[in-house]
Amino acid sequence: MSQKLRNRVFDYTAAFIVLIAVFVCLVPFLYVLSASLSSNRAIISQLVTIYPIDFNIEAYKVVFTDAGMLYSLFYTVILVLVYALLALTVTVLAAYALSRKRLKGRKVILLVMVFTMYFSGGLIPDYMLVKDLNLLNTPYALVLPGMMSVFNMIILKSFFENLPESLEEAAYLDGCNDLQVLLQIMLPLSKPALATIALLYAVFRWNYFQDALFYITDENLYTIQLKLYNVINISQQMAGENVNLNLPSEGLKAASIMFGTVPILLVYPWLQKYFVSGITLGATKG
Amino acid sequence: MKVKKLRSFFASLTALALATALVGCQSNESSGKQSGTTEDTTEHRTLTVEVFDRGKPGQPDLNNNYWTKYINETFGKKYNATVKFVPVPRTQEVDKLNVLMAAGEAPDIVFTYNQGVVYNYAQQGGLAELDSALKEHGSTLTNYLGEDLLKYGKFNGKQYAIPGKRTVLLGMNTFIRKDWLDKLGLPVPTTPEEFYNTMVAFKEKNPGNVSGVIPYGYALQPAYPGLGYIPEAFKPSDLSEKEFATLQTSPGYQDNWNLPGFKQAVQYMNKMYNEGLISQGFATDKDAKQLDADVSNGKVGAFTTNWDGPYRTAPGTLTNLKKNVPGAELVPIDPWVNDAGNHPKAGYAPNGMYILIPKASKNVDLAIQYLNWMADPEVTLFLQNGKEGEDYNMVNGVPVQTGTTNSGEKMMTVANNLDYDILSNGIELGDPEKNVAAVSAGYPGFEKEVENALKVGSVDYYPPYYYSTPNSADAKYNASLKNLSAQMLAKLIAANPSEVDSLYKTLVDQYMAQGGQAVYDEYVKNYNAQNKK
Repeated sequence: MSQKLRNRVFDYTAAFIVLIAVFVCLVPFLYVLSASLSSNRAIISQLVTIYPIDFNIEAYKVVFTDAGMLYSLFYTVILVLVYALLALTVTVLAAYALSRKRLKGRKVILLVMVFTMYFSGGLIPDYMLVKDLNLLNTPYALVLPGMMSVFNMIILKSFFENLPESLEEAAYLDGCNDLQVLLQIMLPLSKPALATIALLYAVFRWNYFQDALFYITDENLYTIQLKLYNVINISQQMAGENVNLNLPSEGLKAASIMFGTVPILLVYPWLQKYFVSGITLGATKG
Repeated sequence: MKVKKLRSFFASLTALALATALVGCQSNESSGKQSGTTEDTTEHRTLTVEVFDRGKPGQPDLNNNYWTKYINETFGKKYNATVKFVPVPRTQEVDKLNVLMAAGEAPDIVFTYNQGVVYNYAQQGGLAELDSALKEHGSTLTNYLGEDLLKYGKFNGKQYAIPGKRTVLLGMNTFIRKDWLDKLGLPVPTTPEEFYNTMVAFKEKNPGNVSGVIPYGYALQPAYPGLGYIPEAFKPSDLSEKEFATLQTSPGYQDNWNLPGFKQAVQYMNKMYNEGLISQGFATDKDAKQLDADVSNGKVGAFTTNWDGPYRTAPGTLTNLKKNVPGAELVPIDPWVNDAGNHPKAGYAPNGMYILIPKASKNVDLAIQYLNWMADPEVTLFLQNGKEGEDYNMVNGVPVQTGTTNSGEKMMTVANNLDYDILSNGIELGDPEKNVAAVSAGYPGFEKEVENALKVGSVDYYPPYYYSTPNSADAKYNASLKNLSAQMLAKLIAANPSEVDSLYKTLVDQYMAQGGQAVYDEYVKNYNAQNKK
């Protein structure tokens, strides 16, 4: 067997394995998509696999005419944008400062921050803090408490640490002050890392619903995930209620999931190139 | 250039932050306005009431819709109060209630179905004592519920909860494919033996002509690991009250391992399993989705489920079955007859949810006035059905919905608006017969069938034994024992028939050692305390 042929066999095998992996990832998604377009009968009878049966768009009609859903989606998009931008700003400021060796006491500060990764106050103290700050039923309750993730900060910090120090020195020689160095030298060089961290924050805010569940009772402030969570879980008939509840159909559930998932998926392609290089850059350069 | 770009970037960032800050303020203001409302008299009060948020697509604002307006315009005007609703997600109600109670932020009126939770609150002093307020403001309420129901809200002799009234009490039904029986010329089975023979015939003759026929469809759901009413057929009819009270403490959808006859019921299932008469994958079908699919696809001959299971809109098994297999017919049957010729069926206790008023509430009197107002039959009728001639028409004394309450501002997120009409669990027309007719009206297309299912499922109904003190050992061990029960049942049903006897003993010994004994002892203690004169 020639070298070339062997390479080709390897390529095809690799491609085949990757294809299987892709398929495995796609099937659940395809299933939900086709369920959202199928009749309730077909779904319950387990006839739906990866293409719709009894094709109809009734479920989407309900979801898209549901003012609450649309509102919730719009609100969540804004919330995610604001949160990601604010969190990114705070994280950059912290990470940059902590990455500079001339900051006195940085080890102590870092230790205090890392401490919070292992130990937290717990649910009820958190709730009472948010309550005493008068943040209940405000969007701030979903923004401020999670403003900085220490984990993300450490990724960014090690990224900054790995940028050549000579660049910074050159900038100081040219008369830059600290802020200018950060804004004009460091940040433009850190785009992949920044994009990664922003995406991590955005995806976190998009998917996380536990805080919304506890801090928000005003329907106008429900995030899309909280709405989805309610729609999906409510379809289990509760033991307390012993009559026909007219629960949402399986198709409606699936359509709601698509409605809540597709927007954040659309973000990935734009940031993907940063995402992959960003994570590896921060981790491996020594 | 770069500086400029960055500047504009940060400028827009700040602008965005500001904008949302404003949006936040605005939404706050507007909701504040809604709740504050007009009048500024000193006596005007705001009553906050929990409401279940079922997250139904298309549901209206739970704090501002047809029903809340009605409540505020009638009750609110009369008592110079604003009623504000606090939505709590249905699936997270206990968690959320715990957080609200712990933080002293709970609304004036909260509720839950969970007796253990209520008892904990009462023990920890978190609940207002209601006896005096009930006496002063609750005459209609007291009359409506009566002592029989109110006793469910008493702990240590004091009224800490107002129990809602449950109008549909029956639990389960066994259904069979009538068209299969007809095809084989078999009668409806009336005893466990006949039922078994019918299942054998279903297996051998396969009247539906399906691949993989399942005579008796069964799913062992860890949340409801029971055997339906099969144990009733083997339970001796002369059980003493004490035996009943201390040995049959779990509902029919769970297991009573020490109840006489329960072992025979397990053996009955074991025999059917070993002869291939029940769903072979029963132990892994944890959410009964496979069973729903098998029934829908017409593979199942008989199965036990909620009394109205096949007629429910979701999952809609009967509708699916009729579409998949034209001519298919399901009827409720009652073969689980005991040694006295009766068909006993343990059902629900007559109480619905526990309505509570937290100790921190400053509106105990107003809250009781609210419930008292709600107990008025006219109010109940409106809250459950809407306006006559518009939302429903009276047919033979039974309200029949016109469909206006399925969408928009009038949408009921649950049939008969149980989330606002918290006093009644199920339609309440003040007359059991009318209730039956009205319940069946809630199953469009299956009214006759549901009426029949109600009749069959109600034969020889009996409620669980009433305890004035909840079992604290049960509260502690219930979840783990339920889990264990599911595993035990799976092992026993799938065991070799000759080994069931000894395996049963080993497993129940384990069960008793892992908390079962403590639970039993406390039931005995509570029973004795309650019945000493």
